[in-house]
Amino acid sequence: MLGTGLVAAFICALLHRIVHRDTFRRYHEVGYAVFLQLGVIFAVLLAFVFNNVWSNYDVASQAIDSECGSLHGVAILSDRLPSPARDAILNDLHAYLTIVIDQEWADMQRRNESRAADAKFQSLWHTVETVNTDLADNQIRGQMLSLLKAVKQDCIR
Amino acid sequence: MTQGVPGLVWGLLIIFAATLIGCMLVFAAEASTSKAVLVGVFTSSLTLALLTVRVLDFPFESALQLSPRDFNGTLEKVDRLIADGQMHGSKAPE
Repeated sequence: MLGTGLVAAFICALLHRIVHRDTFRRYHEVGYAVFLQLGVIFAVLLAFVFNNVWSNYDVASQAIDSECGSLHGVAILSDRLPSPARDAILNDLHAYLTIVIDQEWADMQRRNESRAADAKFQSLWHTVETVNTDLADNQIRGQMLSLLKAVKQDCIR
Repeated sequence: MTQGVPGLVWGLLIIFAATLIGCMLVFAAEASTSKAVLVGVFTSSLTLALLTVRVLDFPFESALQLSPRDFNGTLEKVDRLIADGQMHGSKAPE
């Protein structure tokens, strides 16, 4: 950024050494008007683009918050289940979170999608759906599945 | 999140910025140090604006990237629940 500023200042100084001052004066009046109009168009375009990228950034940030909230909800609900079911769900949740942090984040930095994270999420969903629980615990299973559905919807990648 | 600002819009932004800087260079009538500084500051400001757009365009890379801090926090909570389960042995069915 500073470099471009320095280069522009250098070119400006150089131009005034090479080109005669009268040549600049001849185009000054019309150039000023063109500069103002172009400046307004550029400002409007930049404002639209900036608003768009800022909104997307905000959406991504909120999606992460929401996804983490839902996954935490699944963990709390699974803690209310008896041991084999509880352990299976918590272990799958641990595996999914580990893949997201270690692998998916790096993939997203390279603008790629992570199939491993998708596979782990499917595995977590399958475990919650099929794990053996009492009939009384079916309500908890339903709540966990709705939270996982919300995770899937929040998923921005 | 793999699609950002379209190339056409980037092209327009860069062309407009270059034209504005060019106008300032060519139409600056008086040759002086302050004019050169003004052109330099103007160019730096435009570059900063374009760089900010570039940085915000892809939230998972560059200086303002979103961090996996929330996921780390959730993982810690899950690990704590797993450790609690192992400490207390098998939970009796409720």
